[in-house]
Amino acid sequence: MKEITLYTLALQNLRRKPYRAVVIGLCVAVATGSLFAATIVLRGVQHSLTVGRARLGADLIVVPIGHEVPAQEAFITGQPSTFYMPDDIKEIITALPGVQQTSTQVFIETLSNASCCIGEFFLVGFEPETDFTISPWLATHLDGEALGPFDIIVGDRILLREDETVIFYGTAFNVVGVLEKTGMGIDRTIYVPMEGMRTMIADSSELAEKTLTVAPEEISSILVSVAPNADILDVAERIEANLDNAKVFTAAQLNQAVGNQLQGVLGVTFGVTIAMWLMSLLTIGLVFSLTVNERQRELGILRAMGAQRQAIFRLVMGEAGLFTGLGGLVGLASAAILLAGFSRLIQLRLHIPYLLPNWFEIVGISFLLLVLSLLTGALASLHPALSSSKMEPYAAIRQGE
Amino acid sequence: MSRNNGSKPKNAPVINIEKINKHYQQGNEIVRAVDDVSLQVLSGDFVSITGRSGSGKTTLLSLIGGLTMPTAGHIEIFNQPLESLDDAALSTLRARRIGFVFQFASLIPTLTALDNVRLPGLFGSGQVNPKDAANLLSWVGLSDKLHNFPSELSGGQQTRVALARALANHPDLLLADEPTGNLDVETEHEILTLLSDLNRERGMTILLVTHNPELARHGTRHLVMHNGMLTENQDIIANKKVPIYD
Repeated sequence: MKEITLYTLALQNLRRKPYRAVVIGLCVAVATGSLFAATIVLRGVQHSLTVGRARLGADLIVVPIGHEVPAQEAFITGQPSTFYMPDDIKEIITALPGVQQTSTQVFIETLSNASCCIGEFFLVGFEPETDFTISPWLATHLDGEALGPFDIIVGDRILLREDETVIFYGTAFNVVGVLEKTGMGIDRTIYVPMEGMRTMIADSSELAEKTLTVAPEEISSILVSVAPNADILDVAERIEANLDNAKVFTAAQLNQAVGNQLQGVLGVTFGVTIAMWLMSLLTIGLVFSLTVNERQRELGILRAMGAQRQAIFRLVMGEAGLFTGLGGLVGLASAAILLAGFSRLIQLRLHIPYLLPNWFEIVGISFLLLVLSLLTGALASLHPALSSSKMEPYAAIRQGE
Repeated sequence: MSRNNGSKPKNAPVINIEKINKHYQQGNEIVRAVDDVSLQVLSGDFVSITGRSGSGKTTLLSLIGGLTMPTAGHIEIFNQPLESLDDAALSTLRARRIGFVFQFASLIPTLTALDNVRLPGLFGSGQVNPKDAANLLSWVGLSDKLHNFPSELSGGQQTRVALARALANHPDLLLADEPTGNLDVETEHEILTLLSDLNRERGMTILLVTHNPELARHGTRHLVMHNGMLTENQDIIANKKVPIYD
């Protein structure tokens, strides 16, 4: 037969008023679950930006003036965007002090009936010989083999895998690599060597139902790597000072753009969550005051049996801990299930980069929030626990009469 | 059932009270719940205290059990001055040497009869063995109700469980505050018989508070409480049928 402990008593008391237990548990579950979801989304965005920036590899991105916002949108979410500027800009930039390396890209949107994908995807023409953004990946995964003009690299969310052939605007391409997931626009991007891209553009008038009208001397963006001893912002200013028709943004500004985008949504979410948390705290505090008040005689009898003040304190706190701990667990589990099921929808609705944080971090966040929910219970029940433990047993017993 | 199973020295002082008062303010009035009471109870005594409602019987019992502290005066239980004990020491004294039975339903509603009897072990000198708890319930005539919850027991059965629980830690002193207050005459008699057996066969010191003078005759010594003051009633002890409230 099991030993009788304060935990046993606390658990039995929890069963005594199931409706009350469920209400308190739900309060905590909703607050904990919301906070968990908001934190995971925020960390997911940060994780995605970190991975995406590392993969992007560029310190500065130069785009035609007036197209900074769609360009950032394209890099962040993979939302196709097409804009062009003359390619002679590259030479000007390359010649500037502090610039270590440059590589150009051309942006084209796939047709909605492309064989690979549902909807429009982002086709990016890049220069394998100068590229430093996906070249490190190529070196690792293609065993040093040179990339052919019709060999393409696809993002993780493109429904193509290695060795598959796909036709864009009438030109066939071979998939030679799939990039690792980043949660950013890279996942929805198809990288095509510039030579193959130019051929596809030129042949589109004959082979495709829609003709591409990008001139051979037009490019969409220039990725810039800054020399190790140069200041990124100084170089950015220098580029803008030398160009009339181009705008520069830093990789850090991509984060800023996402931050601005999320500020409103996450601000409201965290505000509501904190309000819920405070409401839970007050509700639990009120319910526990009532509960303890109802049970004064019982607590007095326990004192008559020899329970010390600290045992009464621990009993009340233990009950609160059980209520809020179980509520916290339910909230965490529910939020985790909802996040897992709807993460893609959240990403699409909010237009945010999102990559699930690593499991170690998720477990850490869950643990911290569980502790927080236990602390909520402790804080809410502190006053009733203290007052009931300090009450003279005789007064406690008489109060119940 | 008592710690020493009747082998403790007779006439050893168990309770020694000197001029205790318990006064408290009620509105503009000072209520003298216990007024200048002195009392000595020896080991093996069965003391019954009668008196009108509000005469201070329960307060006196609570003072003796250390459930409340006197406004003035000195209380010694088992030669330990209560005023010198901190909460831990006082709680330990209650847990190990004093058993309480109350008039009202004092069982924990979420625990079975057996677990209610085992409960004092949580605060005493160790867990109460389920077999010992079952034996106690059997002794009070509830061997078939071990796993019933309080709501499934009659008032008399609940009082029996409360009595078994009061004995779970083998106390030397039993404080019973109108334990039969809400019970029918037959059940009242059965409970009092159990208390008498405890005193006679086990040598347990018992203080019984009751408003019923008939029940007071079960004691070996009878005291009357009136307006917070305590007097000895020799007539009852001599088994003379005289009115208590004269």
